[in-house]
Amino acid sequence: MERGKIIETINLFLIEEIEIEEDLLNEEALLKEDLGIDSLDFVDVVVIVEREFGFKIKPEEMTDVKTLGAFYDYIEKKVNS
Amino acid sequence: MKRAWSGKTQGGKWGQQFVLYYFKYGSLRLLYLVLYFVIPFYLIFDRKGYRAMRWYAQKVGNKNRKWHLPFVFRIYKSFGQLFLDRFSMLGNPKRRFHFEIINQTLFDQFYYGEKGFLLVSAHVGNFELFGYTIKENLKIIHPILFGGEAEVYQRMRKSIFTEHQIKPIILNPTGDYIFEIHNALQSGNIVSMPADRTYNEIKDFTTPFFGYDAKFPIGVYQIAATLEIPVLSIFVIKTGYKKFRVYIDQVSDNQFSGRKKEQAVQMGKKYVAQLEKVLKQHPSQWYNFFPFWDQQIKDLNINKKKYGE
Repeated sequence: MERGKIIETINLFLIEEIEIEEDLLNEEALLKEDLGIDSLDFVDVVVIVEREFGFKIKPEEMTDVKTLGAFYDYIEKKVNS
Repeated sequence: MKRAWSGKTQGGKWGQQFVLYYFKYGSLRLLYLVLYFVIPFYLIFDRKGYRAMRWYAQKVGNKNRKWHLPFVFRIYKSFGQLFLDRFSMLGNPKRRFHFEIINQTLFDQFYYGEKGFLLVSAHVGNFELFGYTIKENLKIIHPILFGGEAEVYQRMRKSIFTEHQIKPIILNPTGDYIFEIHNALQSGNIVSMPADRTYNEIKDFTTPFFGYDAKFPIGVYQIAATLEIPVLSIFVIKTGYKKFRVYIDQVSDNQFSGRKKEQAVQMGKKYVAQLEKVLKQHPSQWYNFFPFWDQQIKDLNINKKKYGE
């Protein structure tokens, strides 16, 4: 899957479900501090990733994922592996 | 001003160890009697708890001032009995307790179904005992626990947890528990938790409760709405010596509509209505010993002298 498609899917979800403003969505944005994604929002993230990309997020794999760009990278790596 | 539960359960480590030791050599009734000597100390020295409960007595119960102290005493007594009953079952699982279950068929419908579900209770009555009565072990029960509880209590529970397929999920700052909750529900198991206390940065919603605005956590219902998981409320109320009535009701509803957050609030309000209904019948089994209502916070701060500080 192309990175552009991954970014489009993730961003659409963040805007519509988590209600994050589109302007805030850039690769350097910190998931917690800048986007305000908390642990509860992460339930939605886990569900959407499973539904759209077909794999389950493992908590230990997310420890180094701090920014939105790193999250795109993580999804891209998992989908194309 | 946001109030939240500190994460620590009432009753110190030494107190709990003493109860455990004493329980082995005495009857439960005798231990109940000991409470009559212990409670006056709580009434005198647990000023915050006493003030919170007296406000509750004034607003929720009888307006007559003479009635307040006996009522607060009854709350402490039933709270003490709650621990003794719990220790009694933990220390001697063969001891018989009688449960009258209201809406057993509703519970069975979900328990014998394939889907996981959420079981929400409150710091009312003795919710924990219910889990130990389920013998069939068809589903694993995952109670959400706070790390602040005394170690001896957690240690005691481990043995009975193993026997009854109860695997706690501990709330931790890293947020890993979200994955555990998700996996447990997706695997068709039960996640249970009290849903009446806000804790640290937990998201909440405000709704009238006994006529006054109060904050309740919203997260549990957001999870339910996201995962499309049913939610049941359960309140285990003491009705006599070793006798309990279990009120079970459905919180989730296919009729709820709107965005997930709106559905979550609808569920939350339904839970609060169910909680209030049960408490109206059993007002002395309410164990939130801190300012719970927004108005209570204002009143206790304004009238400090009146409440003994």
